Amino acid sequence: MTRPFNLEFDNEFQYREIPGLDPSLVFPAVVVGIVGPAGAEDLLAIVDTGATYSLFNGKRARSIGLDLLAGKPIRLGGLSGSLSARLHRITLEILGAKIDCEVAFSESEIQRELLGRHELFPRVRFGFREGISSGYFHPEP
Amino acid sequence: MAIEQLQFAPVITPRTLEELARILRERERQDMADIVSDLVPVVERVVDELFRPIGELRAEHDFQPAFDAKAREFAPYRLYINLMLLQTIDASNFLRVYSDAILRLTMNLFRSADEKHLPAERIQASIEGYFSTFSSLVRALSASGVPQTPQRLEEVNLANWIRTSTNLDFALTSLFLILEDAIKTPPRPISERLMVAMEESLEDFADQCRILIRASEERVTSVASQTIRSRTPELEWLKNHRNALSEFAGNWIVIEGARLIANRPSYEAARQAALDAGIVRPFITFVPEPTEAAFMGL
Repeated sequence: MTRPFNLEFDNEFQYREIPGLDPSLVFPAVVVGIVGPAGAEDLLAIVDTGATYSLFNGKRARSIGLDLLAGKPIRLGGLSGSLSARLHRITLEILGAKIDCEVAFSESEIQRELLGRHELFPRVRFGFREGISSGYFHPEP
Repeated sequence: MAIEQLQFAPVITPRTLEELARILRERERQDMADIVSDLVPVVERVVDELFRPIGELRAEHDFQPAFDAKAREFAPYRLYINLMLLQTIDASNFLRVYSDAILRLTMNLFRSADEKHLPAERIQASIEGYFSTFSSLVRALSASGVPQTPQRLEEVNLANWIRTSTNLDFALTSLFLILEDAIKTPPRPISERLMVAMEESLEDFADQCRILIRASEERVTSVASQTIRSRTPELEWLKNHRNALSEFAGNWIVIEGARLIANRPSYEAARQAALDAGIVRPFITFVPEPTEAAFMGL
């Protein structure tokens, strides 16, 4: 058994309601800036430790200067089926940190956007205290 | 590159140059008017070599290859003529003076549009689109107060920007020359192809300009935005309106500060509304239909 230890986090965030989902529930979600070669915009994404990729609506790609279909194609599967997406390298801005990483942009409409593990979780630290609906973020592993 | 030198004037025909010279004389700039008048024979030769063949087209399938080839040949002449004009006229004033000349001319020229089966409103809309797009670009790049070349040239695609603006100018100039009776009126399907080429080029050109503007603004704001905005007011707005969000279901909304800026059925329309409101980096979110189902990822 390991001895008790401490982990430091630079940021704390409160869980919040997500448009379209049951308003009595809150989720670990943060404002994410997606920065491409010719633009940037902000959105609300759910931190999803079960998702392999960070996933954003493909319509946003052009606005930040990306050619959606120029990205590497990928199929993403979930409980409700699968969808086609394209991988692009962008900069994510999360709670003051800038992280260059490969993310997926959907080719079809999606209801919600997610922060997933690929190239993101290995570079940062997320923590959760579900009991008090608080999340924690640190811009280092 | 001085931003003024980006101010390419569209539709330089012998007649528009004569109108420009007349305006300069009215403003007691005889020296400038003389230089502009001296350009008229050069432009007449360009019309003969590059535009007259467009008026003489008879088969619709010949249109696209001829248009592409002549527009490509037009690019260096367009550059030369514009540089000559920019050396003559105060660059900061150039596009405004020139748009005055064009707009004065169109009022007379459009009288013959119906008999030539050319829709004057669409031509007028494209001219206005060209000037307003160009003015937005010049305004945005001038306001940045930093060198005007974009940060990442390969992504901005200046070649595309030049090609689309040249194509737009070539189509517009052809239509003006038809209206001026300087070249023959082609059959109706070819005129319509010219109209479509003009409108599609304007769309592409406006896209390229938007990318240039965004690239510039993003660079300017990148230092200032090192402390990334928390978007707390926007999140508060969402929280305070959680019970009313169902009325936006299926739409994209733009929130800036504690204000709802746009509520649109498409992402593109919402994004455009944000840009129109002067928001370079918007907070845009989709509002799905409400569901009782628990969230389980995708």
